Parts: sequence; structure tokens; C-alpha cells
Amino acid sequence: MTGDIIVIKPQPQYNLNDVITFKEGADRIVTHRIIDIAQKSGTPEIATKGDANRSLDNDKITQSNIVGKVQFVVPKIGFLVAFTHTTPGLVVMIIIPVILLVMDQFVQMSMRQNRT
Amino acid sequence: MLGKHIQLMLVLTILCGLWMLGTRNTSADLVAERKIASNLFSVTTLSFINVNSANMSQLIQFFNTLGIVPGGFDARTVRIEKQGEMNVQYSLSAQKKSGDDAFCNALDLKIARRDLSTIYEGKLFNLSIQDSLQDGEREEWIILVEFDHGEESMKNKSCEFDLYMRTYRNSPSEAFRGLHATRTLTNIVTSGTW
Repeated sequence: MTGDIIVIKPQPQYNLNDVITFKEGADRIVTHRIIDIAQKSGTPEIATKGDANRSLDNDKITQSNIVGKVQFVVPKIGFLVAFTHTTPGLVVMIIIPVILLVMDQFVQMSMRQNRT
Repeated sequence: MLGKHIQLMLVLTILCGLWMLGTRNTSADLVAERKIASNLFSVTTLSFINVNSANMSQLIQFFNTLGIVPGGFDARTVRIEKQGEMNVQYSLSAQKKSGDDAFCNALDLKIARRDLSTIYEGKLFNLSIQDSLQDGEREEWIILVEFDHGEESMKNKSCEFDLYMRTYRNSPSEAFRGLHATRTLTNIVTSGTW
């Protein structure tokens, strides 16, 4: 679903009904299910289909296109991921915590110096 | 000064943030659906007619030539018009139905347009024409069947054949598929005695 995140892991071999993430074209990454694996001149040609799609994907892929197999899905965390990729998200998730930690370290160091 | 728990939470937030920065998008096609709207599908016809050039009546029987002798010939005229919406590609061929093989193979065919430009000249059963009819265009043909052989064995023989015309959208050499139409002109030629 939109907003979910998936964790993928490369596999030495992919089987029917595996949900895989693969590169389609130059820069599009798609996650679909393996529907058919056909051997063509020694190289497996893999047909894929989205679970809710009525038709197969137009282009067949080979193992070199596959990034990995889906291990598990975490619902809704994708929205937080998308937020992290924005400037406010970067500030909230990285910059502010780093500043707070650094400032805290400075405060601790100055307190130690005052004690000594 | 921050407490240990808050420090831990800040560190975890940073680690989560860094991990999330390393993630990439994938198309959410696990539950995606494609909808292609506003499709338009129309069917038209490739119909055409062969008509008598004198009175525009439908032609079915074409040559009915009795008693042809060596050097003899017979002529018929035909008009071909496009009736459907699509431009017509057509092929014309002759197919033997029955009769004496030698007599049938001895018959020649000549097809010329109304302006007498030759379209085909050769053996009857070598006939193979492929052409097209555009909007507003009509073909007006004069077709001659000729017999130039004088062998005794060809006396009192007959040859029944079809002039077989079909329209097509695919290549004429392929099997029928898609929209097409066929028209057949039946013919019979018999030889006399000499």
C-alpha cells in the first residue's frame, strides 16, 4: 500500500510467487510478484504482475534486473520516510537531535571544567 | 543537561533518520491498478461490389462462353467499386473448379482498363493481381479470355473457373484474419469443334 515500507534482501535464486523489487528501465523501481519463469537461451526470463493488476507487466525481466526479494512490509512508516526526505524532515530527524546532543556534550564539558 | 533516556532517544532518532535517508521509493504496484479511460473502438466495412458495367446489376456469372475455337476470344466488362468506409486493398486470382486440365491451362486472360492500359496479360491460372481502391475511385475493366491452341484433344472440352476477389487488411499472402470481404465471379468456357 502507499506509505508502507518494504525490506528487501538479494537472493541467489528467485522462485514463482516471490514478491521482488526490480529495476524497470533506467530509474524506475517496481515491486511485483513473479508469475512465470521461462528459460530462453539459457537465461531465465521472468514475467511479473502487480497483485491488483489484471494484466502482466509488458516487459519481462532477467535476474540482473532484480534488486531483491521482499522480506517484510512495515505499514505506514513510508510516510515518515517521505517526511525525512524533505527539508523539515531532515531538520526534525537529524539536525535538531544532533544539535541537542552536541550542545549537551558542551554543557557537560563546561560543567566538568567548572568543577575542576 | 539531557537525561540518559533522552540522549538514547535522540541517538535512535538520528539513526532512524539516517536509515530512512538511505531508503528509496518503489512503485506501489503490489496493489496498483491501471485504468485507461475514454477508449474508442469502431468497426467499419471493407465491402465492395462487382457490377455489370452496362446496367449496374450485380455480377455473379461472368464468362459463359460456348464453342470457343482456336484464335477465338470472348470479352466481358466489370466495374469494381468500394462500398465500405475504409480504403480497399484487393487481390484477384483465378481458381479452377472443374474441367479438362489441358484446356483450362490453354486459356489466356487479358485484363485492361477502360483506357485500354493493360493490367494483366498471361495464362488464366497465373492471374495474381494486388492493388487498392481509394475513396471515390472505381475500376472499370475489360476482361478477355482467349484460346490459341488448335490441338485435336481440346475439342469439346470445358473449363469452369472462378475469378476470386478478396479485400484484406493484412498481407494477401497471410491467412484470413480481421475484416475482409470476398466476391466470386463464376465462369464457364467450352470449346467447339474445328
